[in-house]
Amino acid sequence: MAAEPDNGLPGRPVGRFAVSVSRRDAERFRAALTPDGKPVRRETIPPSFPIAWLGREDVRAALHQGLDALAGSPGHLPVHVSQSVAYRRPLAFDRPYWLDVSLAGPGARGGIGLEVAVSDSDETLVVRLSGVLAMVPAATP
Amino acid sequence: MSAIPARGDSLPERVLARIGPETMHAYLAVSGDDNPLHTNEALARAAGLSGVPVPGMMVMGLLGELLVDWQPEAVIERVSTSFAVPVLVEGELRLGGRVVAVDGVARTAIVRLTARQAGKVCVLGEAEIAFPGDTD
Repeated sequence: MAAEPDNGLPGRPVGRFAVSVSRRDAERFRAALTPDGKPVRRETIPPSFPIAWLGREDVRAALHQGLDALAGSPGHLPVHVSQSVAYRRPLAFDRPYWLDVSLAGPGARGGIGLEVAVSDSDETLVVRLSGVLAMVPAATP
Repeated sequence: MSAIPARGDSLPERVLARIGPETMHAYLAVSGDDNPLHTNEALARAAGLSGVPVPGMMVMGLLGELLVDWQPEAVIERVSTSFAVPVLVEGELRLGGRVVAVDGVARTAIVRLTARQAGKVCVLGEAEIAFPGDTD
């Protein structure tokens, strides 16, 4: 569950979550992005890894709640329109970070802004993510 | 000290015969993506798609790894992607990129990235990467 609201991101706060990444987390993530599942071992964390934190059960539940509220009703599925990940400095293994998540919109074209900040324990920004989601009605097959 | 690429240099293209449901499901598991569009073909088709789509973030991740494999010593400072056309789980996927700008003083480069399927640019991206110098 979120400890505190976000710290200055645009839009409506979704929550603040304690996160970290282990070598095993990074290796599993990298293996899933390697065609034969056997990645080269690296000392760096895959650049898109922070997205995995958004898929953590507690973060995901809070996001779904926020997205349903912005879409005006449940039963919509988020589809990525765009996404950026910008690093102030590299992530480190096993270091505690704060993940602040916020949602904004819908905008003029109906897209919802997904704003994420990853900060050190001293609140120094480490990674900033910005994305736009389209909410697609979950049509009955 | 890492050699900086030149403007116009191309990344080695990576061609995947297919993503395939097994590979995609492995990514869904590690990323926590529970969007049923990626696992329910009937739902995907009812939403207007011609097949099961691969998560946009998976394609972004594949492009990120393409960069890392090309320049393992470089620091990736930013990756941005636009998802124009859904990448489908079946069908050949071609990942590539080209250096579009270089700053020799700052030791950085801008790389334009693409993911193509069936002749279409499905994902367009851009990355800014930095190359360590002698003192780094």
